[in-house]
Amino acid sequence: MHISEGVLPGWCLGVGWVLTAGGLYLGLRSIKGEKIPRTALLSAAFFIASLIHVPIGVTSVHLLLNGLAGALLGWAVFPALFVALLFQAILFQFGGITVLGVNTFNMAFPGVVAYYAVRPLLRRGTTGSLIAAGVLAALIGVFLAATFLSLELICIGSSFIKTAELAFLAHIPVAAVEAIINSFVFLYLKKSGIKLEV
Amino acid sequence: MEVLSVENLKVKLEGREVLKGINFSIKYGEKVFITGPNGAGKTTFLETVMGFIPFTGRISFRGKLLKRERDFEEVREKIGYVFQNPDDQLFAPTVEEELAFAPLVKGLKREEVKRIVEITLREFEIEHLREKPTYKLSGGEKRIVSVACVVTMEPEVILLDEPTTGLDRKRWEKLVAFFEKSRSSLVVVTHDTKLMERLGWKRYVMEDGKLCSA
Amino acid sequence: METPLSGEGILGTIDPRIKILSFLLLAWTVALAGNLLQVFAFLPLALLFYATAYRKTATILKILLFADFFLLFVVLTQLFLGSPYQGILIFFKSTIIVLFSLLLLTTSPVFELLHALHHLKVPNKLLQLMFFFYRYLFTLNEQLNLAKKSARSRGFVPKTSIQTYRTYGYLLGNLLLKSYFKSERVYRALLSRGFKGYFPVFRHFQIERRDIVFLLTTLIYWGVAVWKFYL
Repeated sequence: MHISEGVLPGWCLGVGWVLTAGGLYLGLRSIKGEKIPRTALLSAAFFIASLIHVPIGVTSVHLLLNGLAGALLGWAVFPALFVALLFQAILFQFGGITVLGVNTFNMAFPGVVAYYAVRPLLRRGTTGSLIAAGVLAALIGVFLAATFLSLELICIGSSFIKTAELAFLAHIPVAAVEAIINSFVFLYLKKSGIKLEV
Repeated sequence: MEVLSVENLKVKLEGREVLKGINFSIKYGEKVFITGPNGAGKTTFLETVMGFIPFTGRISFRGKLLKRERDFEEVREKIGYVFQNPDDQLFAPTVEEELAFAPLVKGLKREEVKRIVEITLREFEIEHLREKPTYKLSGGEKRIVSVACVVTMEPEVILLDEPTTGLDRKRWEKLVAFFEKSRSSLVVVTHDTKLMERLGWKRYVMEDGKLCSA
Repeated sequence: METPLSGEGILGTIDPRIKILSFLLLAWTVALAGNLLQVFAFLPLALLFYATAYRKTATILKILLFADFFLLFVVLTQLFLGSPYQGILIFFKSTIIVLFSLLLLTTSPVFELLHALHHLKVPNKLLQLMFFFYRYLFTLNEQLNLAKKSARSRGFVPKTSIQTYRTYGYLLGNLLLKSYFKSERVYRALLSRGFKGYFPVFRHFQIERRDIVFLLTTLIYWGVAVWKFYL
């Protein structure tokens, strides 16, 4: 879920931009030469993949994939998701420009956390550890993002507690589906014998 | 008995009439070629029969009329489709998994899937490629795998879009042997005159959105 | 996938650099508004902008009403479970900012916006990412659609099952793989053509009289609105 324009108070938008600027600085510093097109194309791939409707029960969900993106991209997940969210705002008016800082941070920072958490598991590379990595990346990515989102909503005022609660709960099915899909993605990449590290 | 029949099939893409009223039918076990110049509508015809492109007219499979996406979903596992470009078709991590995809989707048991995959690997002499990632295959190997992964579905009809392009002599013979042996109905879109002469099946020509028998 | 109002109306002809700066000024001012009066101060300007693209009313309404599931969720929960005033305030803030975004940003095609960002001193590396992203977005989307078609042609029907999630995992893994290989080829192609990290620009922007008129109108309106309602 991306926060829309006009929802958060100004200071919150400002803090979001400052944090994202820091992440962008570290992320951009880590990509050079051939890593530039690679990051851009992976970012486009995540953009497209997050538009897929994945069925769950009677409804369907969109995937966040920030944990997976973080695991593959490291700090470069900041510029990658920044660009993806910018295009979502320009092309579809999802999210927006003033909230771009907050939305990027909400998605990318959990990605970085997932990167450090999942790396050792990916390096071990057994089937069990890859599945664990997929589950962990999804749980960290989705729930940390949901936590940030809910806390920001509560920052607006006490009338937002219920809204924040519901927003958090809505992420549970996403995390469940994403945990399974991530695991299959890691198994896939392992079987294809490719190191997708950026 | 006809397994697949098409009546007055018309398709418009971006305002242009690509298929202009096609009549076609194929019996159980019948095998035919469709040939014709590039851009005549051969690939569009196959894709329409698969239910991927909106159309007017009638398509029926085993006497049942296919209208909505739901109807096509029900019959797709019985109609195999080999893409013109194997790179677009293959998406599983390894050859083995590519072959196992269709039977797994069908809901067959693991052992049953394994049995079918083994038989098919042997039939096309690609056992040594079993665990190879599909993107690492050579052009000819990809071509064979893209046929094999449709065969494991055990379809009643297989539509093949230029399946012999880029095959070496040995694999070409392998594919011909499969064509001769197969009990499925086959619709082979091709420019390969050697193939058509060798097998001598009925030929259709697609020209400017119209299909006629040659 | 192009900006929804690309080239529409008189705003479609204004220099994108000026539109981007105007947008930032207006959007941030509305975003910082603390009450409905301050928000409504910018409604006439938003409607004036809208009037220049009235022929696209259906597109604009569709985006305002349906694009934003999150806004709907926030407004509804506020109306029924929180503070209705907050719900209404957020609804209008959001709608007006989105209107500004639609009419000031999305009336230029994407490549012109990127070009304008280059003039506005956005870091080159970030711009390269945006350029490659957009350039290959369509190609990769097509790749995913073909792979989906391949799965469907072999009997795949999405439902709630481990089989379905495995298939999506494979489709996604495959898409990442293809992006990776594509990027290698892109990079080699660039190097072979002497790419050094900068894209040469053929068309240059030229400030014209209507750009100045637009900028002045916006600034004066903004100044008066802020003076009357914000200070």
